[in-house]
Amino acid sequence: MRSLSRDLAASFRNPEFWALSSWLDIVVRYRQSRLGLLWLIAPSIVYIWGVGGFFASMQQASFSAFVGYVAIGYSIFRVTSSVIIESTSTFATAAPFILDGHVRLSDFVLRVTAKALFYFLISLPVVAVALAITPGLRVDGLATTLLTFPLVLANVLWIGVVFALIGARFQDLSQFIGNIFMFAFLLTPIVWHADMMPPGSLRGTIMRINPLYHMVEVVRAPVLGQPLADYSLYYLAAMTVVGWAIAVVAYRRYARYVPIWI
Amino acid sequence: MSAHISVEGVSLTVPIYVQRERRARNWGTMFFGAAIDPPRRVNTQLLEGITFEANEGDRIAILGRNGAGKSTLLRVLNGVYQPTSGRVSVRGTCQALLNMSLGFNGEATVRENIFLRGTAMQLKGSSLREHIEPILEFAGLQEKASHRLRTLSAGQKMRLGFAISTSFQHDIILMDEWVGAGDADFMARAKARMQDRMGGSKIVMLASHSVGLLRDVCNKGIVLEQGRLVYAGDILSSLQHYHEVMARFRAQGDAGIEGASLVYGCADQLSLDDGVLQLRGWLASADGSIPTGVVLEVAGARYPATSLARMNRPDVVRHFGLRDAQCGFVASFRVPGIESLGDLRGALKVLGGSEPGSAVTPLRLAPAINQALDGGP
Repeated sequence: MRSLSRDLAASFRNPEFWALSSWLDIVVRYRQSRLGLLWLIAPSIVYIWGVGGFFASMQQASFSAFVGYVAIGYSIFRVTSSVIIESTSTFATAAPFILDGHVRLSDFVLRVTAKALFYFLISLPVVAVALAITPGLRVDGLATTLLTFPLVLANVLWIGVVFALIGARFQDLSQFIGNIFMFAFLLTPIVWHADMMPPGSLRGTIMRINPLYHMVEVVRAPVLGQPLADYSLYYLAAMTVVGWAIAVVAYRRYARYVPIWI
Repeated sequence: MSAHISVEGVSLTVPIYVQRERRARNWGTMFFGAAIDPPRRVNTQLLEGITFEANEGDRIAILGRNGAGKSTLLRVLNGVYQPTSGRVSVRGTCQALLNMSLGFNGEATVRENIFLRGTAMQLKGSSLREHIEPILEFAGLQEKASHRLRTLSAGQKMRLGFAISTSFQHDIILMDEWVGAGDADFMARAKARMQDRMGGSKIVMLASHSVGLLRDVCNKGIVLEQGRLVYAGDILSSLQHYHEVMARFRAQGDAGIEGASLVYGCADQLSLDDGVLQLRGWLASADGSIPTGVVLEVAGARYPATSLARMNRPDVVRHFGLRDAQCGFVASFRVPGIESLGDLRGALKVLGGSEPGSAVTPLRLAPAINQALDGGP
């Protein structure tokens, strides 16, 4: 019987494998290119300054105010979405390792998480520039990210565990999630403001059910000095508790079947 | 702490996906069928009620046809597959050498891949660093250390995997068929390293079709058939039982291993008589049948036997637990241009196979033959 808490603790004590393998996955992709690792920051520049700037002018918003909003929203969304998308196939990808006896499955969830975090860290300079020109930036708000970002990560991690398990059994999940996330970027208020969707409307309701919205909002609102709705906090707190409970039970019940499924 | 393996009533049932059989009348229906037929989920029992124990000093051969459950059993011992019912307990550090050329990152360098595989085997970076150079050296890949792994040949990858997997000593070694790609030089080093590792480890479980290897290494054996353990005992009686099982299936025209090529044997005596080379030796095959192909290779040219007579070799039969006593042979060859045995020195190979056309496996030359070639008595 494998226990999630025990496996995670062991994974954190022995980070060599998952840290090295995720890092190799990233760096080898750019080895053959002239600009090398500089390509890593390209997506954040394109999204924050390009897409962000484009949508700012479309909505007649102030460019300098909008890029900061997009910068935080985009980088949180990217961490979350890449872990969720990749976790659905992480066990299948790691089949040679698992079938060779590396059965501490939490390593493979941490591997996709570490990969997403590497990308996040590399995008930070771009985010910093965007925030530097943002009017009304709250320094005390920045301090709250020390609490809110780990909270988001904690949620990302349980989602990764659960989706990795389901994805190992049902390969449809990987396809499903891949398609959903094409839409999720537009569905989540990243390049538009949440108050454009009034609470009563259908679109407003969908937006407020969307967990990604709350994960983004809890980090973004305090930094930009915007009010954070209480229900976002309740939503996230409930999601963390329920999600981890599901992850622990699912891992205990199903981790042993993963080598057979993949 | 002493190493110990205990397996009690282990069964393993796994779901496998089966594509529906559909008789394709033309290309269209075949393409269409391949695309839309949903696979069926079928529960298959791979292991059934397996019970055995391994104590320190045991070197256990796992015998059985292909698909009998040998690799599955090793994966259960390794903790990859948890048994559906029954209990497995393994005490001691355990290293499985199941598939040595997988688990690499093709775009990363050879050196980086050693780190990757090493950390995947739960080794610490510090102890790993000292092993990098020896591993490269053993695999003969020093010059390739900073090349991308993708550029290596399959044989080089296998050598690298083998070098990494075997560079640490463990209490228990679980090993699947490791007849590998590799030149004779590497195979010799690999064999020496394996013997060293197996000598240093407390328990060895080895699944292989190579009877010669099993006989050399193991002192006990178990025979699996369709997921059930049908025999357990010392190596000799296990080999006997295995050969009986194989003979039964061969009688049904279903040998179940691609083992026709897995012949083994030895050339014992060579003499030159009136321009005709006379070779005595024995030849057996992993599936228990008696192969008939003996070919001399002299300086690259092949000479099939002009006549081949079978003879009884009770000593070989006893040693390997064979069923058929007639594994010995006396073969004659006509090789032009040979005046004395000394002319063959350094140029002679004896090859065995199920028939002359497929004889490619070099047979061991007994010391007496080498002496004769060197002009000895």
